[in-house]
Amino acid sequence: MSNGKKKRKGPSGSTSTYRTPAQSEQPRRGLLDGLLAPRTPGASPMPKLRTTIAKGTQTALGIPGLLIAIPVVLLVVWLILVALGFQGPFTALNVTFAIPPVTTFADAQVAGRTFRAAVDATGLSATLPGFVGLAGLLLVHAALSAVIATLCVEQLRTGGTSRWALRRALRVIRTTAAIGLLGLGLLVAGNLIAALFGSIGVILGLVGSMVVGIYLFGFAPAIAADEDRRVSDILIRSVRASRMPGSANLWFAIGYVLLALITVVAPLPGSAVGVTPAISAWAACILVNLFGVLVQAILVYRYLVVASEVPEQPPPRARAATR
Amino acid sequence: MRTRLLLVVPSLAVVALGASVAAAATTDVPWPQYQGSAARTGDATEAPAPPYTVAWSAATDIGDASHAAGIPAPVIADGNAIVVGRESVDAVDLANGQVAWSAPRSLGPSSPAAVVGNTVLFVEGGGDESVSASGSPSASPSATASVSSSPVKSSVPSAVASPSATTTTSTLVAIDDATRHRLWTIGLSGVSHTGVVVAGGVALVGADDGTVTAVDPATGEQAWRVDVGDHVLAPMAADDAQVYVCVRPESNGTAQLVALKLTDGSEAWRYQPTGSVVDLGAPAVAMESGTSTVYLVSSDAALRAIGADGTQLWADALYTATSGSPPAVSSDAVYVADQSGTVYSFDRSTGAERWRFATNHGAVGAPIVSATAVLQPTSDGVVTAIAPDTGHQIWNGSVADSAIFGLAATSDLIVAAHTGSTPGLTALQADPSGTLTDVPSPTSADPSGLAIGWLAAALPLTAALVLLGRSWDERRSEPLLAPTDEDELPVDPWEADLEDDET
Repeated sequence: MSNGKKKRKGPSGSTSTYRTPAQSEQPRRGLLDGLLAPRTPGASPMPKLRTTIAKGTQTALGIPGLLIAIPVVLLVVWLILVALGFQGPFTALNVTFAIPPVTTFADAQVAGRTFRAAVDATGLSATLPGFVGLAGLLLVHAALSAVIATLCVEQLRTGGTSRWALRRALRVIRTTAAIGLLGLGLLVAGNLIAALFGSIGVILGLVGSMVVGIYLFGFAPAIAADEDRRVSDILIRSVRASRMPGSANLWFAIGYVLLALITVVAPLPGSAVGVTPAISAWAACILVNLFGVLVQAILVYRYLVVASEVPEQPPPRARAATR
Repeated sequence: MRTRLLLVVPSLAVVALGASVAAAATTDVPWPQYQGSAARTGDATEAPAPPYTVAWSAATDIGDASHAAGIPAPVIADGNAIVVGRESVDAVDLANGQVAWSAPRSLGPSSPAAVVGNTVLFVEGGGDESVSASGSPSASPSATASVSSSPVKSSVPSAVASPSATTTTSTLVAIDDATRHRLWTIGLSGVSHTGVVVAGGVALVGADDGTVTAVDPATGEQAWRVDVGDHVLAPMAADDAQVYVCVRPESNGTAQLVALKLTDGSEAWRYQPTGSVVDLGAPAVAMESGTSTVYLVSSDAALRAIGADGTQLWADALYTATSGSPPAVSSDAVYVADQSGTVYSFDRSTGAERWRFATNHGAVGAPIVSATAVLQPTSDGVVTAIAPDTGHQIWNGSVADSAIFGLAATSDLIVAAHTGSTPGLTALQADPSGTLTDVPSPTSADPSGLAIGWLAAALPLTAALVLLGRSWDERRSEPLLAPTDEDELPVDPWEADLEDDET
């Protein structure tokens, strides 16, 4: 199948195949400079959040296949989980279309109840089922995230979608899977912090790790879908994009994580144990997952707008630049 | 008790049968210990059948949700329901719900009392362990406390039932249930959470320093005292020959179940589960063909059956971990609830799961089992009755607005001890005008319900969203981020690879 969007494949490497990298020379900044340094009005190439949300929403809602896929995927995932022994709560599926590591947080709970080792199992047999289950769930989220990203990229670039997006998603999965693994690592680190610092640690560790994960790697699926790069380059580029001046990406990540966590812990319909969700539970789950899709579309739009502005190389350190 | 009444005052029996069936019945089937007996099986065979209605409620000193600590589960003797509160032991008359008497108690974690004849045995002291406690005496488990110190015993009956001064360790107390005078006290070397179990002619109590102390309930003389190695926190169970004690490790390690001989406290066997099991719940012990089997839950969300020689007979996984309450045991089944409120029935012999029912009310207290229902108290004040044969819910009702810690039963009342805005005891009685339900568990598959629910939600929502998206799409003439030239189009990896191959 072809929709005419063919082009010559560029040389192998990490550079974009269809976009001239920005070569702006600016002093290299510290990690927190991207968050805390004062910004001059209009200095950021990032679109305003309000504009981003509107355009991202328009993008996602403009893909009928994606909208139809949400309830279908939820039904399939639920049937598979129930067949494997999961009995709820159904709200665990509220983050099916969310972004890692928010998804990983819920996956750990689902895996713990579904892929349990036999009583009295020891050693590898005690940990393997949970690990395999968690890895499977991580791959499911990676696949969904990849498809959403490629669909949104195609929609934004061409005004429509085709099977190209699904084929392209096969290449994006490795990036989204890597993000999932990084998210898992962040959550483990967050749990350690939570264990060390008690209730404050829960906020710092768990919520913080999710915010950091989304803040740093939120653009990676869009980059993978839009540009031919190695996974490591994609992740680095995502970090650079997230740290662009005046981006408000951190606030966006914080807001998203808090809202996503509320949908997991709030007593929404479907929060009880049971294998037959009510109509209200399905409706709530579909809407919450639509929210996850919209956020991913927003991130894709946000990245594509500034893609040409994201520096290819780290800016030289200020001291070196002044020499 | 009823026999004694009939022998001494024969005419009273006639009066009781005719005028006060309830009062006579309550003395018929006593519940003198936690979960009904030393075996902790929750056997309430003669309890009334559902549906129920509230007979009475009585406020006692259990404490509200933030002030309660331990397991203030009720026991029943001599027509009274007795519950150990924060700073008093209260007895409520089963006939009318009035507080019959109240005896002061030194502040400490509540744990079930035991009644032997006219003697009420309970534990006091140890400090405030409720969530409201701040800067209170340390009541955390400590394995470093000395166990060599001799217990301080006072056998002089006090004229008034004054409590011991507040201490950081607990004291076993015996009072006369008629006069509330203290018959004797014996100091323990740690804080006790276990409550008292009476079996084989001794009263036994465990402490968080790992000691188990056996005392003659009549005299208060210590029969024996042993150190089982680590924290003893869960209520103990006993049969005619042995007491079963769960030992929780201080930090790392595996929990153990220890069987001690009632005669001298010597260790009969020690069971240690395989795998990472940091804690074991309270045991229940049941006899079958002359041998005892111990049933208990473990922190890895499993129910285990341990044979008379300390070997594991079977183990079954539960959906979530449990609060550690003892299972209820009937003649052929074991019933247990996990923290999510799912109640399970397992075959006693094989461990095969018969059914499970998700109440979706968190479970704190232990279930009890009557001839017609398994009764499960919940953390939000609800009692759920489940049919033992079908696993369907046949009744449920709200008793309180917070956790129910335990149930006790007579032949005409179910007594619940609960915290909440009006902490105390509430009794349920059969409700002839009530109706039974037949509700299957939410965990039972309902394909048609699933399909209907999904279709009813998915179709209109998806249709509305697609229409909304289309209406926006029609207003837009170009892609939002249309490329400026062909070079900015994304790459189709497959076709690009094909082109490369062709060249």
